[in-house]
Amino acid sequence: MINQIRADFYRQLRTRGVWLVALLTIIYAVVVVGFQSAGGVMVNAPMKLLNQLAAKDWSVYDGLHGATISSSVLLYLFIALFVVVIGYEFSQKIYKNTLISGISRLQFIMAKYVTLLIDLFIGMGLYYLTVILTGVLAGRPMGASWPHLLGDTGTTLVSAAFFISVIFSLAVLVLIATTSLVISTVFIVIWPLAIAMLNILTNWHWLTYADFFNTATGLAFGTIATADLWRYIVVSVLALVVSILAAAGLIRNREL
Amino acid sequence: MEEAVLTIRDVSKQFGHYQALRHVSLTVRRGEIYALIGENGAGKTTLMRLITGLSPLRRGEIMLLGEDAAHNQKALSRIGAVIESPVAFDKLSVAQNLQLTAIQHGLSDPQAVEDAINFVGLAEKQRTKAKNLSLGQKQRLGLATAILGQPDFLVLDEPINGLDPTGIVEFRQLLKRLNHERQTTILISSHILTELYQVATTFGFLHRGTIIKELDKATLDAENQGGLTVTVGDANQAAAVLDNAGIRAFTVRGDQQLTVADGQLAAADLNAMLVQAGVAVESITTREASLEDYYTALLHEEGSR
Repeated sequence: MINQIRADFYRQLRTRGVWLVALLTIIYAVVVVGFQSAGGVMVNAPMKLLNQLAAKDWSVYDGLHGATISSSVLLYLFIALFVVVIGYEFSQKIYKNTLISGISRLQFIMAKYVTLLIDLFIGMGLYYLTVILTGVLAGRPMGASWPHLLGDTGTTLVSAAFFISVIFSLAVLVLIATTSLVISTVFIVIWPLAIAMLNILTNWHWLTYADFFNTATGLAFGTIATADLWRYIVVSVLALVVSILAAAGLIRNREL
Repeated sequence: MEEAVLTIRDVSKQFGHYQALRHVSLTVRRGEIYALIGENGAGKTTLMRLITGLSPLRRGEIMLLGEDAAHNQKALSRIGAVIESPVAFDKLSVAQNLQLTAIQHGLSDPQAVEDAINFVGLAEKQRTKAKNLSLGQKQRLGLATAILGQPDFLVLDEPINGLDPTGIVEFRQLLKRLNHERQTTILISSHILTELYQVATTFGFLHRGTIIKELDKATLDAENQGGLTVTVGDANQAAAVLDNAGIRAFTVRGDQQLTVADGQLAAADLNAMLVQAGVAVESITTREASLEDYYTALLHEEGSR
């Protein structure tokens, strides 16, 4: 499994699309902080904070908040990573080379998930690093102490990478179930939108547990009650485990 | 008996109502180049996909390098395979594709990639992206990928499809070198039977999902002799005449035909001998021994059952 992860990173470092995603992430971070413009696609938007941000000049710490609200857009940018890491391999059937190298189906799926998780961690890290650097380079006041700023950044970064990875893990399952790269990428696009729209239409509160991406935002802004946090984590971990095991089971029983 | 690298026992495979394989059993022994021969849809690729785990095994048993292929992935790490068309990452170069495979196999020797490239004759193309390779070069890259981990067993499905005549000859030499220099056991399928005949040591004939014949090259040569094919009024009478004349190397091919092996008699002498013994000779023709003829006769025989 480690070898497969190493192989995927060897390939990604030689793929233009990955570098393009990194560049666009940096540009997006600069634009959000530089133009002091925040927004995103979410079920429970922190309206109070959004209004506060709209009404003042941002400090570096405000830039971090604005970037966190705006980070839901990154999900769509990171679809390219999903395509590079697993989608292309499936559409071109190159996985045949991998699967006859002796790796088990579960190890293969796990390796892909871990690669995507590391990618997301690096991508979000790059985003927040650019956000902080842009604020500092623009000469803005810090707004909070460095330990507080870095602590908040670290927590948001880790939680965002994890919760986006849950959506990608479900998308891997969709990819293997449908063998369609188009359907699986559309799934990633539609998931947060569908959850948001269903929530508006039905007012089913429990849908927020499945709004994986915005769970990280909710944590960052305290819109998720601490007492409720375990429910979000349980739902996400369950979705992750089920999707990985189901994907491994499907691929084991499929004509490849 | 030599050690079995691959043992297939009573394997069947069904896709919906279509029975792709029926109770297939065969054994590939260490050091063999086993040619799997069959028409389109005979089940060759299906069998190879089952061996490599690309198709789930539901019925029967496949033992690969001493391990149950259905439950153990370890054996797969000791094989190399090109199933259907060779695949590679289009945007990576030849060397990068092979380096990727080397990482997947946990190979740390940087020389391994270079060796594989040189072995398949792609040294000049090692910096070329896979998408810019010709079909023959892609086949070579596929073979390089398969042999990179120095496998004990190589499974090649139609590896010479699309190669030009020079490429076919070179590919044949590559396979022989792999077999002789690296003692790699090879299972190969192809429609180009003349090529298979030149490289293979054992032949398995697959027809409509069933192995109809399995034999080694010596037996094939004995059963498929070239020589003079005589059409006579009564083949049994002609056989008795040849027997009495001390000619043993001949094969009776039905009621009215037999083949006398090369180097036994000149056509004129054979004709004189049979006519003098009262056998009505209709024709004498020279018959070249070929795997195609043998295969065609085998299918004809199978069809008449």
